[in-house]
Amino acid sequence: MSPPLAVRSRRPAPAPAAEWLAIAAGGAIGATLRVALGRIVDLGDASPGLVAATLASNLIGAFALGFLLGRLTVRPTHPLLRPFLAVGVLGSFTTWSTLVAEGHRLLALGGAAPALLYGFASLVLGLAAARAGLGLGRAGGGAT
Amino acid sequence: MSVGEGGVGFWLAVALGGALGALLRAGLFRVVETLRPASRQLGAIALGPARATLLANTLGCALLGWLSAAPPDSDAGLGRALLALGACGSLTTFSTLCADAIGFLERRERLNASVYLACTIGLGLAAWATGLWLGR
Repeated sequence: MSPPLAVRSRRPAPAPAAEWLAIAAGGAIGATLRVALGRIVDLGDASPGLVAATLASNLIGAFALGFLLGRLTVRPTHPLLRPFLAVGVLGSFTTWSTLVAEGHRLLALGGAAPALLYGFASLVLGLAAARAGLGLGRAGGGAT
Repeated sequence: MSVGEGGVGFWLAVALGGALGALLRAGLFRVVETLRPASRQLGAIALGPARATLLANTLGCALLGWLSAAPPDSDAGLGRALLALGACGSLTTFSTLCADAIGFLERRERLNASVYLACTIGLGLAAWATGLWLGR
């Protein structure tokens, strides 16, 4: 039976202020990394360059969150690690609104096929990345 | 302090917006959890904590649509960095969406997984279009 993968667990809660601070700091870092990745992977305003950065951050983030959640099921960590990394950094590093906006832009630029391909590929690859990360996290979590 | 694209002010605005978006998402989670216990079901569908992710993603799409309606060259470089890149990008999340869906699938809750993904996509598209329409 797999443990639930909800963002919050029923662990003993750290001080609320510390948890909110961890979420805010993580959110600032995650957003900065996402926008910075967008600047690095700047392939121009035509598909597929338009969506490459968002796709990359979403897939990396989905894998990393899966790995983190898997690891947390087998190895106890600092109670602020989850709010900081899972809710803050990875929650903010990945994005859904940009994906939807880019989907609309692809629709306007190239019709339904690229937009549908982008949405479908994001979700299928994202789910696969999350599952792979989860498996690795559960398997390797107790090693060190 | 430089406020243009890539200046210090730009990155500070992105970071501040990112912090606000993450706090708002976590706050929505608390509110949803408090208002309606996760055990409450709608027929056979019980999305639990994933409802908060769905809500955050839908709200973020509406806000980004609304922001997208403004002319991009209006004097709003910092505002765009703060709200569109920072806050909307961070309020919405893809990693939690995937983890939620994988959680449903691992518990063999195919109905919940399908409803969750369909609602996230459908409501996200509708919210973005509605926001864009309202902004014009």
